[in-house]
Amino acid sequence: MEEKREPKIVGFLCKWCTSAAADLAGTSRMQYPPSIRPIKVMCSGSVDMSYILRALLMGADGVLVGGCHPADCHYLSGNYKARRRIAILKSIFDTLDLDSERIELKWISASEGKKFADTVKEFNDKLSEKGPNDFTKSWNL
Amino acid sequence: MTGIKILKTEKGINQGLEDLFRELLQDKILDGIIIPKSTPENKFIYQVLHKDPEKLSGTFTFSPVMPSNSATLLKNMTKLVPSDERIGIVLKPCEMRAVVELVKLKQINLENIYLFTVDCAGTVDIDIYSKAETDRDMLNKKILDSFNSSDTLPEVRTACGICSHSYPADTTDIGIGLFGSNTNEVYISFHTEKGKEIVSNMKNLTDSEKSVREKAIQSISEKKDKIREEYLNKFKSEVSGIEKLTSYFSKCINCHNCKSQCPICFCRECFFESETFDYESEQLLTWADRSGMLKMPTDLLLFHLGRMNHMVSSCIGCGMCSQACPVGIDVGSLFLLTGRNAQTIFNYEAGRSFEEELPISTFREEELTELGE
Repeated sequence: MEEKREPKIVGFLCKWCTSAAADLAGTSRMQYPPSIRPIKVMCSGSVDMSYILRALLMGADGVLVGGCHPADCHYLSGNYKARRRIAILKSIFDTLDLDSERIELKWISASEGKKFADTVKEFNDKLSEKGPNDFTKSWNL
Repeated sequence: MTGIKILKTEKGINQGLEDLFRELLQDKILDGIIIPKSTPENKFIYQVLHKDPEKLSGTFTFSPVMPSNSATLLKNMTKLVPSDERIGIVLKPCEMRAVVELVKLKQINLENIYLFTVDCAGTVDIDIYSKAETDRDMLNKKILDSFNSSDTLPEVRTACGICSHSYPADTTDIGIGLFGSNTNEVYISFHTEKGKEIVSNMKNLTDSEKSVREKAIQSISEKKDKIREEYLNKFKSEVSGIEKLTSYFSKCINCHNCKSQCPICFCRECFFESETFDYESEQLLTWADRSGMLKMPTDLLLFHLGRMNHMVSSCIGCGMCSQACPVGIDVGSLFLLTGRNAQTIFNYEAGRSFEEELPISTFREEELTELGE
């Protein structure tokens, strides 16, 4: 029997909110898929779109960017800027028939451990269903 | 704040305009003018800054070739210190739109700069122009003649063939137009206070009705809009999806010429020239171990899609990237396609106005609410 393929998710999580939520989910012993590779960043607004592209091009099945809720950004407006950049990235993906659903932006505050666990679970399920990222086809030899 | 006049000339369009510019220099209305000029030895066309009115000769206000986007030139001239002399510069409409973006990106200072924008019937690829050594005069004439013919010249670059912004917009100070004109006549229009001052100092202009000119422009932009839509729809189907996109860039040699010719790519140090995404040998060896072999990463898509994310909200579609590509990839059409869709999200159009804020330098609290929730 074929082993069930577990998707790879790269998470860029804001230090002030979503990373703290991930910690809370952990210390509260909430269960969520281990498929996410969290990377703590100072702000969702500090994530250059090239990093998301790089992750997808190198075979990640999905990228989750987690930031503070609107109006809650530690740096006042980083999350709004991230939202515009991700809108541009998704628009480019849609225009070129690439799968923009593999890029997810979520506002998860430090107290929302459950929302973090749920988000990862839902994203993981969605990506499991989709199967491997099409970009990996370009590596075929 | 707009007005239109007519210059009548019996000497030929470029020559008549040259005389007009010479008078502006002689009368000290302008201290200098940057204008395309052909060199005597090889007849190639360069932007030349003229200060001595007596040396103004061989200029091509309606130049048939665009070796680089002159917005970059204006950036290099004014970025650190604004000009303290009054300098005019002759621009194609796409160069003007790049100027608008670069002003908003704080790369150009327009103090003492007077922007002249010409009508454009398209420019030929620099490669075609340089090979047409003996036929350059004929090419120049063909471009001039094509202004009042119903079709765009087939020789022009792809970006020009589908350009629907081929006339001076209200961002420019002064417009120089041929669409809708009679033989031996050029429209001179002013669009700003600065432009009005210059035009009022020009001699030998006669008054004109706006309506003929406006009708000609409208019919051209409508026709070109249609051509553009048809082209982009067809083009989209050629590059959509990962397989097609990968093969579209398969012959890319990663030279980054497209980036260096792009007027919008102004960063001194490009993210994609940095070591950020370099690989260590250990990483490559581990990957190769996994399946016994490894296609060495070229990061072509990372570069193109990455650069696209950085600048496409300001892409004005001048097509300099395609002209610069040594292997002939039409990078420009791809950026035009994605750029147009990305700009639409923010109701923005690159180069349209000095007032509209750059999409990536601003935000609204109440927008894009479907993201993040």
